Amino acid sequence: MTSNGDHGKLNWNGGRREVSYCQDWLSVIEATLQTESMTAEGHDSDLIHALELAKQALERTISS
Amino acid sequence: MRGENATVSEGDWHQGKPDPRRIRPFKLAESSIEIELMIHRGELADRPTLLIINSIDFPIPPSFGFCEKIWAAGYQVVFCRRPGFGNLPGLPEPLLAKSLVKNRSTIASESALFSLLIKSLELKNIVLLGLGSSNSICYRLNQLNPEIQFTIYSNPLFHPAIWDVIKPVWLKRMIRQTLLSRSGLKIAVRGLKAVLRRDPIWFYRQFAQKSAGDQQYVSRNLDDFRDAGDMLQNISPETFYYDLQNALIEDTRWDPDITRASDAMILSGHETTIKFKAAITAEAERLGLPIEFAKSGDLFVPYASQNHLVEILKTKMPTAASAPS
Repeated sequence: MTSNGDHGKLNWNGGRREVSYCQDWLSVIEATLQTESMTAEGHDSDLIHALELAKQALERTISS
Repeated sequence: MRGENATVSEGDWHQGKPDPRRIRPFKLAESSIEIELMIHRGELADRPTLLIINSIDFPIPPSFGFCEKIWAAGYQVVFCRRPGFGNLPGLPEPLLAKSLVKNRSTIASESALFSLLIKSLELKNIVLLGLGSSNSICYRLNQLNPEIQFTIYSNPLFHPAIWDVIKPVWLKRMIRQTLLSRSGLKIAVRGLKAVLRRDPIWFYRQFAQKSAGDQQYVSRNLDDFRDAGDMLQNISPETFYYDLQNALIEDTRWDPDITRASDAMILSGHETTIKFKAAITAEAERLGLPIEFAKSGDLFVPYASQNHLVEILKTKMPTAASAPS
C-alpha cells in the first residue's frame, strides 16, 4: 500500500504495482547516486549515506 | 510566450484559455512516478524559474497575482506539489518506515526525486523557494542540483523550541500528539482533516491569526484555501508524521557547514512573535545565512510581501532577472 493508504481511490493493494513503484523509486535513488556531483569530493557524506540506506530498504522490499 | 513581459489579469486568461495555474501530473520518463506541477502560463518559458515546493500546511500554488508579479520580474513560477499531498500517491511504504524517516533517508529520497524532475524538465537558472516544512527538502535539493543558483528558505524553523509560533493552542496540542505515539498520530490527523473538511477558511484564519498580511492573503484567495482543505484530506498519517518529524526534530541538527557554503538566505516576517524572531535569527547565525524580515506576513510571508521577494530576486540574481528580452 502506498502512503495514501487511507484514501480509497489511491489505495493500491500491494502486489506487482507496488513492487514496480518501489523499483521506480529505486531507479531515482540510483540515478542520483551515480551523478557526477554526488561522487565529487567534499560532497555531504550524510546525504549519500541516507540515500544508500533508502536504496537498501527498497531493494529488501523488492526482493522479498 | 518567449520574451513576453507584460502581466495580464486572471480574467484575460480565462477568455478561451486554460487556467494559467492548472495543476498537471508530470510523469517521470519510463516510470510510474508522477508529480503534480503548476507551470504558470501553462508552458515553460525561456526565463529563469522560481521553483516552489509546498509546505505541509498549504499544498496549493501561489495566487495568480503573485505569479504575474514574479513574471513581471523576469521569472516563471513553477510549483511542485509533493507526493502524497494531493491527488497522487505518496512515497512507497518502505521509505516511510520510522527508522528511515529518523535517519533522514526518506527526505533524501524525496529530494532526489525533485532533482530528477528538474533534470527532466530541463530547468535552468533556478531560484528555489522553500516554505515551512519543505525547507527540509530544499536544504538537500540545493546540494543535489547544480541548476539551483540561489535558495530562499522561508521560515525554516519549526521545531519544539518555538512551539509558541503554532496558533491556535488546540492545533499546537494536536501537532505535539502526532509525534508522541502512533495512536496519537492517527487521532490527530483524523481530527485535523475533520476541521479542514468542516470549515477550511475558519481553520486557515485561525492558523494565520498572528499576521495581518497572512490574513489578507487568505481573504483574497478563499478558493485556494478551500482547495487546500480538500487536498489535505488525502494526506496519510505516515506522510504527516514524516514531514513533521523532519521539520520539527531531525533538521534541528542540520549541519551548518553545508548551508554556510551555499548561496542562500532566510526570509521571515515581522508579523510574528518576539520569541520566534529571536529563535530564527539565532538559527540564521547557526546556519551561516543572511536573514531578512519582510514587513508583512508570517507563515505565507513570500506571498504576503511580494515586493520584498521581487527585490530579493533582483538583488541576488540580477542577471537572471533581466534575462527576458
